[in-house]
Amino acid sequence: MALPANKETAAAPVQGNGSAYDTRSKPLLLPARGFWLLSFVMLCASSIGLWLFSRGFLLTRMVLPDHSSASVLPYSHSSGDVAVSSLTDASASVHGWYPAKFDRTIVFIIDALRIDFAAWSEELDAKLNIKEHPATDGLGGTRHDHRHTSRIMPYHNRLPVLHSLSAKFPEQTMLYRFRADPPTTTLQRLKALTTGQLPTFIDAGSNFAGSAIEEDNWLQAMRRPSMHNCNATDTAKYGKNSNSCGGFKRNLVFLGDDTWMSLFPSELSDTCALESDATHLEPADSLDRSNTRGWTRSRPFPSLNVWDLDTVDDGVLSRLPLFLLPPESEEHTMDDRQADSVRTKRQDWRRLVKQQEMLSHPDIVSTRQNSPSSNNLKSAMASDRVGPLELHREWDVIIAHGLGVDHCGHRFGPDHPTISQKLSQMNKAIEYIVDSIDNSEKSTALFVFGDHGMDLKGDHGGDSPREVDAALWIYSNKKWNTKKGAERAARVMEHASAIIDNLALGSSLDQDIRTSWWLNTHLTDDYSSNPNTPTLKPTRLRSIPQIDFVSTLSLSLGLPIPFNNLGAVIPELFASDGDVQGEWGLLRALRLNAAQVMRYLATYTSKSHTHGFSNDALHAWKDMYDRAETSYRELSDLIGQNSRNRRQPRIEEFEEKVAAEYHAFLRLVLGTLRQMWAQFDPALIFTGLCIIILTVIALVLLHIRSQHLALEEIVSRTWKVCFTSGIAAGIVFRALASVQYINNTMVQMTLTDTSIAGYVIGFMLAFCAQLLCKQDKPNALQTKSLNMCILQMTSPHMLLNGTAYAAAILHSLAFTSNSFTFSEDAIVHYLLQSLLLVVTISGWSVLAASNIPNAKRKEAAKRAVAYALAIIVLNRISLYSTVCREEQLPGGCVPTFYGSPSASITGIPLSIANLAMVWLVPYVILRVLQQSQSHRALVAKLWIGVGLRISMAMAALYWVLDSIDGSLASGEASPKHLAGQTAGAKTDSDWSELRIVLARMALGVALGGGLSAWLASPFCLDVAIADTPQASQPTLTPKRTQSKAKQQQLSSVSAPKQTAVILGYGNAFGAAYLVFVTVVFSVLYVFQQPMGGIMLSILLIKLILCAELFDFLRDALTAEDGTSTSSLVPAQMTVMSLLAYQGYFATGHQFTLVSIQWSTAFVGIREMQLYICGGIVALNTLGAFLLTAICVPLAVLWNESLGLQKLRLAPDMYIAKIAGVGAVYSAYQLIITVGSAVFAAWFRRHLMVWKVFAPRFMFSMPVFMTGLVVSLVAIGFAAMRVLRQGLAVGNAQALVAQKFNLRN
Amino acid sequence: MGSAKQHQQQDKPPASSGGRADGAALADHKKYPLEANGIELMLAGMANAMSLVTPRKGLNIYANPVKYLSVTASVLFGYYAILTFADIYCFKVTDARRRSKPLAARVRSVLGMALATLVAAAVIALGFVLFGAPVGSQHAETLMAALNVALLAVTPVILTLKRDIGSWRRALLSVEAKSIPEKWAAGFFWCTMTTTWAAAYFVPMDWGRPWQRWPIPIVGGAFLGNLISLLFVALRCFVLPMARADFQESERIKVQMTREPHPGSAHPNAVKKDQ
Repeated sequence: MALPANKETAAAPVQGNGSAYDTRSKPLLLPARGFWLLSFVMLCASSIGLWLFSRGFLLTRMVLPDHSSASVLPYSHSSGDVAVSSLTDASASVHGWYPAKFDRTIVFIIDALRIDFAAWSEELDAKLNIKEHPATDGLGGTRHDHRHTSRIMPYHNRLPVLHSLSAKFPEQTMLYRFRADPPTTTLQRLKALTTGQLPTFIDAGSNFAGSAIEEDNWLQAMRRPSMHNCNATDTAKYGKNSNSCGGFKRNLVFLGDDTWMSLFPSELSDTCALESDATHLEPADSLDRSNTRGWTRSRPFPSLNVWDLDTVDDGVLSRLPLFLLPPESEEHTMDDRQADSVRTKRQDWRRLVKQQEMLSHPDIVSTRQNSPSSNNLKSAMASDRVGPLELHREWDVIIAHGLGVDHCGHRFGPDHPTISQKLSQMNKAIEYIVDSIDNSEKSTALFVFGDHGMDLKGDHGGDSPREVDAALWIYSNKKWNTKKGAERAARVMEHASAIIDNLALGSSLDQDIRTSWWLNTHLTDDYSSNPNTPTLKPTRLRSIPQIDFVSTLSLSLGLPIPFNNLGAVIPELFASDGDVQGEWGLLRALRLNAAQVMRYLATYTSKSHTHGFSNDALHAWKDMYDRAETSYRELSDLIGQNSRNRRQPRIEEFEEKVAAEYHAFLRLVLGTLRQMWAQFDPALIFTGLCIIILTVIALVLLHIRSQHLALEEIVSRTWKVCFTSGIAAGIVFRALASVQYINNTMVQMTLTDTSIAGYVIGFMLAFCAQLLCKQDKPNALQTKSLNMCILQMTSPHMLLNGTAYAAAILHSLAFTSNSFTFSEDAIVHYLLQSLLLVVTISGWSVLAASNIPNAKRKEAAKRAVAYALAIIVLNRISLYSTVCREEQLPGGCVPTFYGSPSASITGIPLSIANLAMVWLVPYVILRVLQQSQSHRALVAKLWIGVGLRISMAMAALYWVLDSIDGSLASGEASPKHLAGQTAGAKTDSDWSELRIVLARMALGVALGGGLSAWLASPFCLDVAIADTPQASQPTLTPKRTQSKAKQQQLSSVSAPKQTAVILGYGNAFGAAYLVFVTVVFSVLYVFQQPMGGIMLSILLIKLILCAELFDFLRDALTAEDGTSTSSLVPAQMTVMSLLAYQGYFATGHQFTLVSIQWSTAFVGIREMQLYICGGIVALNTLGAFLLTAICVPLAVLWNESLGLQKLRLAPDMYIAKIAGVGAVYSAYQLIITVGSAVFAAWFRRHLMVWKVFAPRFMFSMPVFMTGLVVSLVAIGFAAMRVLRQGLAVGNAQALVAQKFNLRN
Repeated sequence: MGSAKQHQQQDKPPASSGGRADGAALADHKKYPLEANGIELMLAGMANAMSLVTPRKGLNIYANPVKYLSVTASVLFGYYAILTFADIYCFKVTDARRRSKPLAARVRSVLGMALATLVAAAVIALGFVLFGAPVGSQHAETLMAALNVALLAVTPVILTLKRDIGSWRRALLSVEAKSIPEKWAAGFFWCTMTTTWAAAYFVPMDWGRPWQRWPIPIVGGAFLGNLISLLFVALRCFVLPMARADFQESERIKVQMTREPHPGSAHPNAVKKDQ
């Protein structure tokens, strides 16, 4: 890199020559227009791509905090006229929403109960040769088609009790296909089954850490304190069932999957302990039931061990008899026959439990209480106030959630015989539950359902038909589904589907929203493979969306429908209620439901301006609701007119019509919202990804072209074609968007989006094509013969760059697995070390090569190897600092960032270690500068020698004080101690004032001192008159001493004995730029916690070493003939990018929201200021990426001497070269972004998408933007400024002349 | 790589050996039949199998990896020691001179092999740590894993290439044409090292399998790589050269036959005619 000897300058007088150079170099302005234009294009293209992708991918929904109240009906009173209000509202505030249909309810969830597990097939039964059931099929026609054979799976017909009961009591049972919304994971399903909401990506408003449900749900409603008491008149007025009217807390029993506990920690907290503590209350008074109202019994069991098929089920089944069967202590009150039957039943239950040791748990084995009342047997479930008898008699709702079937699917798959055992066990359990219900005098409902299905392999989470089609079976000991009611309900639903099909919006809704029936195709094994020739005739089944369960359960329990619910009531459950508060039961239920949904929509749209509902949808909802309300008013008029004969068929028909309109409204809302909230937009995702990938290609091509073409030339060649093709593609896309088929795939994409996307895609395609196609100047690939190419493939350059490409691809492929995404820190380290190992090996191979006689190359190779090894060791040191993701903790990850695993405030030793950096960083920088003698310049001496040290020292001191404060605050005795010492309560405020001053001064020194010093004179140049021994010997002619490193000497004519030496000539540009980097570094250093400060310092050292390493490597790998066509830029940029990622992890971050160091927001400021605090946190979080992006131009500028001929002859080409480096760096960041985006979209229905893939993608956007923007700005401002100044300084002669003029 | 460096620095070869050895090695290439001694391929497979005994109660890699790995290491070391002592490792023709090698020299060569392997193991352990192996804990695991990897990857190189630094460089650091011993060494070293490197894939996966504990995937990768390299080396150093030599021989015969027709070729016809 030494300047080529300039013969002319050696002899000619300095003054004259210098001025000549001045005139030549001054007017040479660096052309920056092309650079900025291209930067703008790339920035726009990538941000539009990311924006489109995020719109299609990151579905958001606001969580409303409102709750439905039992005493407030959802009708809007303003719209209703007097007649309506007189009809309905008179008793509303007293009687709640809907009188409870059942006294008690059992919700029995069999996880992953697919519809074909529950559905009965006569035909398969004939094959199975099970003869215990009669031949009538209550579900579908009896078809015997023996020509076709179908495989009988181990899960077919394993729940015969459902079928036999349906046949026996058709008015008490019903089987539904229970269609779940994806993602079909248990947690998401439970949320939907309790709140009635659709899952979205970001439930805005919920806290990210906790998983407890904040939205209104029916568990909350049950646990809410009573608004008013029910009195006897209500009971008398509203029939035999209505002894509960929604005004008291329900007694709740929960057994099973512990996911419920994380969702409802407060609602399901066991009240057992609490009651036994309340000894001051009088002992259980059997008459005063209101005192014992509202108890809860929860027995959660671990859900995560999918290999354990039995524990949860056994836990549930062993405890259920405590509630369903009378306790042992009561057996003496019954006659012998009863007692015997109870005993046999208890034995039956006990036989169901697989792990018999489960039965010895104190919950089940009742102990004789040592109380005076001798016969009082008590189990751990019972408490002082709620004894075993109360447990049996008083429960209102039992939620039992068994996981055995699901785990069996995960473990063995649905085709394994184990599943038939599991289902048979469930069959028995249902049988016993039904038996106990039948024996109970209270009306009891049983809901048996699966929260989701399972796919062919037994897994779930996605949106395939087998995963979403669960089963729901309802049973009650009272008739709730009379023949007439069922017929009326069917008419309502048929009418409603007809209404929806006639609506404009309705045609795009899902099939299962539009019709309420479904052909059970799952029983045929060739599902979806060959629908034309099914082996079994598909049976017709009722089909409901899963969230319909919420409003149905709420109303049938006499509770208000949860505020956010979107489901509709199941018509059959209410159609048989002839007269509820003066109207048909189904009509009242549907009207309540519709009014509640309308209230929710109104609240939602008024709460946020960016609700995202389209105007079409809003209008359609409003129209449909108004239509239904108008019809309702007409109906009430009609009833009012002929009140005597209200059972007229005409009125019934009218009632059905109105109910159908409400039902259609509810279905319409659910269908449109499902598209908006539960459906990703594949069109947006795809176009967004296309644009990002095109941008990556464009960046890479830009790098390749910029080695031979100036940016201005690229712009002038491409812009016309780009603009025209952009406009053309925009028009084409817009036209395509109106094609029906494509239009169907677009959920949220608007026409504007398509035009923009089309324009950008057309533009980028044309740009890439223009860059790809043949240019005037031949490029490397076109001129080279194949042989040369192959030869080049084996060259170290290709090896290095190839490894770099592989590392980039492997890094972006890390998002294929959640485990890899968890341990991205280890993967980045691994890739970085591997890449550096290859660098070392290639350097070593030069060193070991026998056929290279060039000593200079060997020296360079030796240094390159040394630097590479140094970076490897430093990387290992950086790996020491970790902050663990919660997923890494079980794997033995120990967080060391704060000094100790449990602390969140840095210990004092670490912050004192941080003080060492104050010495180390300037020392290393000066040592590096010393190699080119740049360290003796004024800027280096003043800023790096003094200013940087002061700034860093103050920042480090700030953190020392911070950790002292932190450790003092945590110590309990210290406040007293401090107060005694300084005699005042203001001790820590004094400290904090000092800290604020320190932080601000550190910043002031960095920005005021460092930046202004750099702006004033960036170059680390100094001219020394060599008072060397040569000077003292007059006999020696002025000679050019061979510079040891990068040093240029020039003779001075004025004093022949002396030699003017320009110090720092060889690395003039690199050193000048390095000064700028240190200024940025000292700003970032302030905002890093002690360990982060250490690691950021190490990162800076590594980045400088990396610049040196690749410079030497280039020297070492350049062949003797000097023809090195391929550059090492890809390898260098990959190493730098990986260093940035490692720096990010080492400075105490992970790609999770919880690892953001919010405490740094208050460095140097007193009170919260949103933008400043946010900016500081961003500087803290993205510090490593910022620092690395700033260092990008160093890859070109390092060790470039002041007399750079390339720059002087073709400045535009030189700018293009730097811009190309920036393009490669941005391309790396964009590749990682593309990787995270692609796999986030790919795994959009994955179990972990909310926790892993989506946050990673969201983090990759600011990381990429930082990389792109900062590297471009660094090139555009800082590097340009250095180059411009370099050109203005002119030549060595001018410099020397200037110096002499100054001195003389 | 690291070990290669070590040996280049440690074992300075006599000045004269470089060029001559190259020529001799290249000359070996053309000889037919090969002077390679294939017994160690067979034995290496056996040693691998013996060292990888199935985990059982007393010797369970999951329960006590250090103990298990020390057993495998000693089996491998014993195998190498026997071969070194008998001086029958790769490409040795049993000639009288070698048979009459004094006992002390044999012991010295075994000790040298052991020492070099230990140094290589230390370098590989350092490499493990640099790649992220735990520092504060599990020292024994790391060292044992490194010893196993060294025995599988580096010891064949040590035994094959001895102190010939030129061969080391050609085998491990360059793409130049190699002699058969160099191919042998390169095959073992690079296959085993690459597989060891790639086996780190399994470390972060959350499968929760017992074999995902720290040194097990790495050592498993090394054993797998060693087996692959056995096949690879057998193909590259034995089968291919033999096939090539066979082919050349047959070509030569063909050329001879076409040039000067065989005198006996007409003879059978004549007999036929006679009949």
